[in-house]
Amino acid sequence: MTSLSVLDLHAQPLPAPEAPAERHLKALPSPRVAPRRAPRLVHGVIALAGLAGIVCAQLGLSVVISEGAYRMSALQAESTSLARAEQSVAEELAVLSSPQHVAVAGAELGMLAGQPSQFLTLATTSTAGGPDALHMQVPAVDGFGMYVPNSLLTAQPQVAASVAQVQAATIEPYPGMLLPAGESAAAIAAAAPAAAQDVEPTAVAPTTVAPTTIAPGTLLPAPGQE
Amino acid sequence: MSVAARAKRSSERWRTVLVAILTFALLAVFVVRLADIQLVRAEALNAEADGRRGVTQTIFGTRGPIVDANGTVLAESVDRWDLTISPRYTRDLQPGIDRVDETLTVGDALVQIGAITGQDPVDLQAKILAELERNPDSDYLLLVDGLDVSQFEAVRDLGLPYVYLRLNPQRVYPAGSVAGNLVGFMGADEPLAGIERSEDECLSAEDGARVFDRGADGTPIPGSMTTRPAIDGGSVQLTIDADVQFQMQQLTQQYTSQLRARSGTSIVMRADGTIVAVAESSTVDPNDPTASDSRDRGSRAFTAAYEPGSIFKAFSFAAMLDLGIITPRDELSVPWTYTAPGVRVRDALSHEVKQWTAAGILVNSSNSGMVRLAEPMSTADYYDYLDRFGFGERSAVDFAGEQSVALRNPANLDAQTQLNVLFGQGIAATPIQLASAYQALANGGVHLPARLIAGCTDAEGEVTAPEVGEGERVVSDTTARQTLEVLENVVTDYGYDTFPIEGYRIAAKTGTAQMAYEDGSGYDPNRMMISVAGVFPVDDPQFVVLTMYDSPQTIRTSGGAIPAFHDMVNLLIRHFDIPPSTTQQPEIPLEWTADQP
Repeated sequence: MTSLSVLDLHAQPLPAPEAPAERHLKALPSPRVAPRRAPRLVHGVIALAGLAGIVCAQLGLSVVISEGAYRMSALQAESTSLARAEQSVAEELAVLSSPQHVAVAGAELGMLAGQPSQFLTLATTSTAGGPDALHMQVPAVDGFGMYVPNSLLTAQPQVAASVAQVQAATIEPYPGMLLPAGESAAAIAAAAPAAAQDVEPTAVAPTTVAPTTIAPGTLLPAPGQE
Repeated sequence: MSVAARAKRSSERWRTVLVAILTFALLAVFVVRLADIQLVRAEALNAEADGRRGVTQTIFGTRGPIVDANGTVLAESVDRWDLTISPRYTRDLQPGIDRVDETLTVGDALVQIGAITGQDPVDLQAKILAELERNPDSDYLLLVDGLDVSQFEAVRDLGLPYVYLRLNPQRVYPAGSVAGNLVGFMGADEPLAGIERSEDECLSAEDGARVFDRGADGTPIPGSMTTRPAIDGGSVQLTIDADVQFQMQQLTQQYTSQLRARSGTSIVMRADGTIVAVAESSTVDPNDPTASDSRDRGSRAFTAAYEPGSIFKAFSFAAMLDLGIITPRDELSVPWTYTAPGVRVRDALSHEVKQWTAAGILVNSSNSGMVRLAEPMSTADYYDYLDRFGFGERSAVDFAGEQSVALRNPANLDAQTQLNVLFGQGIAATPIQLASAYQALANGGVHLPARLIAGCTDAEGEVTAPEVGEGERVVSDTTARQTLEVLENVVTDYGYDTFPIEGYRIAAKTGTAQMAYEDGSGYDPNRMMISVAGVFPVDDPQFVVLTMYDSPQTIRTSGGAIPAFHDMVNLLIRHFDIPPSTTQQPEIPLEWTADQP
C-alpha cells in the first residue's frame, strides 16, 4: 500500500471535465533538414596554407636568429681583433714616448738642452736670466749604454743601432788593446758599419732564422711519423 | 554455480590482479627513475650535459695601469700568448684531410714558427722530442711564451691543429727603469715590490666568465649565453713627474759613476709633502728585474736607514731656536774639541779657537759648537722635536718594505750619545724621513705627511685619494724662516763656488756621515756617506732636494755631492720655470770680533 492509495480513499470525486481541453502540446512539423554541405576545398587550402605559413615563419625566424648569432660572433671576433691591434699600437706608442727614447732620439737628431727662460722684473725693469749651466751634462747614452736603461727599447731597431753606434765609437780598438775573449779588433771595428746598416726599419731581430736557408722537410724529421 | 564457471572467474581475477601489479610495478620503476634523474643525480647530470655542450670561457680582467702625475704610463698590462703544443698529436698535415694546399710537415711548421718567434727550429724540435722521450703520451708542452699580437696572429694563421695559443696577460713598463724603484714589479702571478705590491688592492682585476652552449662549429647557440663581466683593476696615479724622475736618475747615475760610489740616492719633494722624484743608482728595470742586483730591486730611499751626520744639524738648530735658547747672532768662542766628564766631541778638522756666532757654528758645521749651544737644552725636549719632524716612524707613504727606525728613549741614552745626536750620530734615519723633515722647514714649520700616491681611480671612474693627515706644527714660522736664512749662508759662504746659482736663494746643508760596520762594531774608516739636503727658493719655498752618495772614492767629502745638488736644483728651475728670487739674502754675521779694550 502506498500513501497515494490512502489519499485516494478520502478524495472527493472531481467534477468531470465538460469538454476536452485544447491540447497544449502538439507535434511540430518535422523540420526540414538542410542537406549537409560538402566541405569546400578552399577551407582546406586555407588551413593547410596557414599551417605551412606558421612552419615557414618559425623556420625563417630561427634562421634569422641563428644568422644574427653568426653575425654577432663575427662582429665580436672583429672587435677582439681590433682591440688587439689598438693595444699593440698603444703599447708601441708608450715605449716610443718613454723619456729614454725621447732623449736618445733627440740626441740622434743633434738636439741640445734649450736655454733657460728669461724673466722680466717689472720693479727694476730688467731681465733676469734663469740658472747657470750644469756642472755635468752627459748624453743619455755613452760607451756603457743607457744611464737609465729600458729593456723594451733594445727591441727598437733605431735605438739599438744608435746605442751600438755610440758604444762602437767609444771603443776604438788600438794595437795592443786588451779585448774580451773571442773578439778581434776587426770584429769591433766592423760593428760600427753594421750598426749603421741596422738603422733601416726593415732590420729584423738578429735571432730570426730565415726560412729559406733550410730546405722544407729535409732538416727536421717530424716526430710521431709512422 | 558450476565448477568450470568458478574456475573461469578465479582466473579472470588473477589476471586482473597480475596486470594491476605489473602496471604499478612499472609505474614505480618510472617514478624511481624520474626521482633519481630529477632529484638525486640532477646536479651531476646537468654538469655532464653542460660539459658536453656548454663552454665556460674566462674573461680576463685587466690589471690597472700605474701613471705619473701627468698621466705618463709607467706600468700597464698587455695581452701576451703562450704557444703550447700537444707533442703526441704532432703530425704532417695532408691536403684533403686538413685545410692545407700541400703537405705541411712538422719540420716545416717548426721552421715557420721559428721564423715568427725568432727561435731556432732545431731547438723547438729538440724540446718536443725530449718531451716525447719523457712521456710518449704527453699532451701538453709549453713551446714559446710571451707572443705579442702580431706573432699571435701569424701563428694562429698557420692553422696547426696541434698548437694551442693560450692567453697569458703580462705586465710591461714602457718607461723601463724610470721610477722602477718605486713602481716595483710582478712575479709569476703576484706583485713582488713597490707600488705594484702596496697598491695591489686597487690595481688587481677580477676575472669574469662567459658560459654558453655551442653548436658543432663553435658558434654560441642563441639565448644560451650568460656572462659575468670581468672587473678591470683601478689605475694608480703617483705624485711623481716621469720627466723629472728621468733627469734625476740620469744625474744620480752620472755622479755615482763619477764619484765611484757604491750607490746614489736623490729625492725631490714639493713643499706640500708630495714626492716629485726618488732617483737611485742603480735602478731596477722592472721589465727585467733579474738583470739587476738584488740590492737594487727596491728603493733604498725607503728601506735603508743610516746615520745622517751633519745634515741633521739643521733640526737641532731649529729646535734650539724654537725653544728660545739661542738666536742666530749669539756669539761664542769655539775650540775644535769639547770635553766634559766622560764625553768628548771633536770637529772634523782641527782649528784654532774661532769667534763664531750661532749661525757661524751651523754654517761651518762645528760639532763642538753645536754641543756648546745645546748645553741648556734637555735631550727629552730635543727628542720631542725629532718626533714631530717625523723621525722614529715610517713615512706616511708606507712603502713596501719601508724601514721605521724607532727613536730611542732619551732617558736611556749615555752622555756621549746624547751629544752625538745633536750632529746626527747615534741616530738612524731613512733618506725619505730626512727629506720629509726638511719639508717641515720649507712649509713654514708645519710637517705634512710625505705622499707618493695621488689617488686610485677604479673601473667605474670613482677616485679614492689616500687620507692625508692634518699635518703637525713642528717649529714656529719664524724659526723655520730663520733656519733657512742661516742655511743660505752654507750655499754662499761654505767655500764651494759650484754651490750657488746666481739670482736664486737656496738653503742647504752638507753632510759627511760616517758609516757603521754592518755588524755594528764601530765606524768603518773607509766608508762615508756624503750628502746635501736643501730647500729653495728661500723667499717662497717650493722644493726640497736631497742627494747622497754611499762610499765615494774620487771625492770623499761632502764637496763631491755639491755639484750634483747644484745640477738638480738647476734642472728643477729649468723644468718648472721658477723665476729668480726677488728679495735679497739677509746679512747674518757668522763671525764676531771681540771689542779691543
